[in-house]
Amino acid sequence: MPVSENIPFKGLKDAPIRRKVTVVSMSTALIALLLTAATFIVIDFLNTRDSLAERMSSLAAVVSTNSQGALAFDDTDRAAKNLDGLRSVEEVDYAALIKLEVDSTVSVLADYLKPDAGYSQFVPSVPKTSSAEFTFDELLIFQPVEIQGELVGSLFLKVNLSVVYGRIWTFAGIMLAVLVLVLLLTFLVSGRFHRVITTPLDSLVTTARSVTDNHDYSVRANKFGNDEVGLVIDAFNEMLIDLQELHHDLEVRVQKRTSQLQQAVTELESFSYSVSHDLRAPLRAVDGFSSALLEDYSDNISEEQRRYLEIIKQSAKQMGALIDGLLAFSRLGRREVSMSEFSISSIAHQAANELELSGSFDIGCLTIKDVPKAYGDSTMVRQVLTNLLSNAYKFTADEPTRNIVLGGDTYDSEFNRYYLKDNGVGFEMKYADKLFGVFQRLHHNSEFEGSGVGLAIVERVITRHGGKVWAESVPGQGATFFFTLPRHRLAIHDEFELRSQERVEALVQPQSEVDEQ
Amino acid sequence: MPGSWNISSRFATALIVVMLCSIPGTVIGQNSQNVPREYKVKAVFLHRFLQYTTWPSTPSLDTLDSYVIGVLGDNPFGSSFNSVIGRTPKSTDNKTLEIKFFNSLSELSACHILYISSEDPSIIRRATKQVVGSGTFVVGESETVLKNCGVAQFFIRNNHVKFMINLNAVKEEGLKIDSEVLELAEIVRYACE
Repeated sequence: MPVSENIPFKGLKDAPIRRKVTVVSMSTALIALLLTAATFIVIDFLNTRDSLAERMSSLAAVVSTNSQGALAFDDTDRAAKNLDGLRSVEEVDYAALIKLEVDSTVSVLADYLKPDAGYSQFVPSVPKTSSAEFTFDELLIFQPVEIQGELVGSLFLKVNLSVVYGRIWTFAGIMLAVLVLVLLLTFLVSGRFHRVITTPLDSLVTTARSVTDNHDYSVRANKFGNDEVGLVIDAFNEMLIDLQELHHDLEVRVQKRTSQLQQAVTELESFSYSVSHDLRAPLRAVDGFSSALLEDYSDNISEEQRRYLEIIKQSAKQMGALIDGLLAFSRLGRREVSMSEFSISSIAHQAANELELSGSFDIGCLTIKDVPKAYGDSTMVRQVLTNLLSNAYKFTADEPTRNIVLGGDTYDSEFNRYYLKDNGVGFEMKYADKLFGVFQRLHHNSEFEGSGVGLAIVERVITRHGGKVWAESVPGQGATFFFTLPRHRLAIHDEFELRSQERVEALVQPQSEVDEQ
Repeated sequence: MPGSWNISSRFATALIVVMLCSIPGTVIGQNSQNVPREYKVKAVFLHRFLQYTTWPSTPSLDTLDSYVIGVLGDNPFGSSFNSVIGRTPKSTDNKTLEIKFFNSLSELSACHILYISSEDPSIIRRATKQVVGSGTFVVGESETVLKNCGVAQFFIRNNHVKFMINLNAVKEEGLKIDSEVLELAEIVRYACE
């Protein structure tokens, strides 16, 4: 899925929404608070500074007025006493009364140094106007003293700004405490606020998961509001409605088609069974009356007539074999299956023995290796082995020594693979996919006899078990038939059993099995 | 204390000369550079007295168009007053300052402040008798001035020029002296006859 790169705060890209909400609200609060604090601190700093300057200027004005006389009459004691009054004003570090002499020189008449303050040099001067000037950590005030409009001296004050900075630190401390408190509250509150966003999303996710996991299209996501998430939920629910309809339509259509197909299959099976069964009666008549003619009128018929009758009998017999094969094939669909674990090697032994009794196999040319057990309907699988063994025997007829091997191993977690290898004529690989079709024959009847049904039955049985069958060969070097069978019970077998049962129940057999034999 | 009352060696030498001569108030020189600091200070003080005092309306004072500081006898101030003569000492009116030097009692005329440099009691007594009641601020160098209804007397304490003020005389002359001055003065009360 493409991820857009154009979102801010990329580091938060994969963080849960809860954290995003927390980070966003906390940074908003932080920025707002810091700006507010900075503004307040600057304003307060300026205010405090200005008010200090104003206060100190007034103080300077008062002290200088009181010191007029001292300056006028050079009274240092009085001047010192006046300045000493500043002791109660803790902001004042240093004060001096500066006298303007007649010859325009200036001298310090008296000064005051706060007990714990350090003396710092200053240039005494007697300005005509008062001034208040800030340095980094001091406020310097000059206040002129006049008598009857005559400038006689000035008062100098050096004021420390510890009050101003003290306030700033106090303010900053309080702000820090408030900041921590606000961030904490924001953290707690945003822990609840995020639900405004995540609850609808969680509902959406839960619903979406329930749809994908359970294929339940009837559920709907709850809508909590008309915001963007609300719109997404609306769209999602509409999609679900469409999906539900589509799914329902599809289900109905599939059911309809399946039942149609099932009916067709049943009809077809019933038809082929009836046809093959009913074909036997006239065939018996053809065979029987040909035999009767040969036996009862053997003296009256010519050699040529006898030869024709033998051909008729032979053809009838061949057709009977065809019909038997067809019946066996169609009977497969009508048998009730019983699944169990069984030994492939013992089933193969039984099949080989039976074939040998009927004269179409020699057990001496069969080698059965140690093969794993299989799970399935043993009767059906015996039919598979019978067909494959007789095939192998049949197509090795021309070999001086027949060599037929049955082997098997584990194919995957669910299936075992078995093979039957012979040293017969084999076939061209381009015909490999034609081997298992009904009445598909690669050889002419005159070469090898056969009905063309045997391998079709093999394929049908193996497929019904969920396995697959294939063959490999090099012409003249024999053929190998592979098939897989389940190692244990599979989900597909439930349906297999059920369907066969239904089909058996649905089928009304036209005649009894005894009549068939 | 930087720039305070320490008297430089040059003026100390001058003072010694003054004491050796034993003639207080002797004119040492017309150049203010040669005037002892003491008299420079006293000149400033007289100027300050003028600035801090309000005079009553009296017949003799009303004849004056300017503020007059009179110096009776020898002039110990040299040219100390030069920087303030002709200027307006008070911001309340436009009267200028004038300095008058009276060599003898006979020359004495109306003035706002009369400085008597002489410490001779008879001279002081005669001078005060002449001006008392005319609203004159009489300043002298000896106690005799105060005892004869003079207003102020200079004296030296700890090398600093100080002054005493006779409150009875202030009252008698109808003067109003700013409290700044009174606070700095040593107050005495000698009865005026």
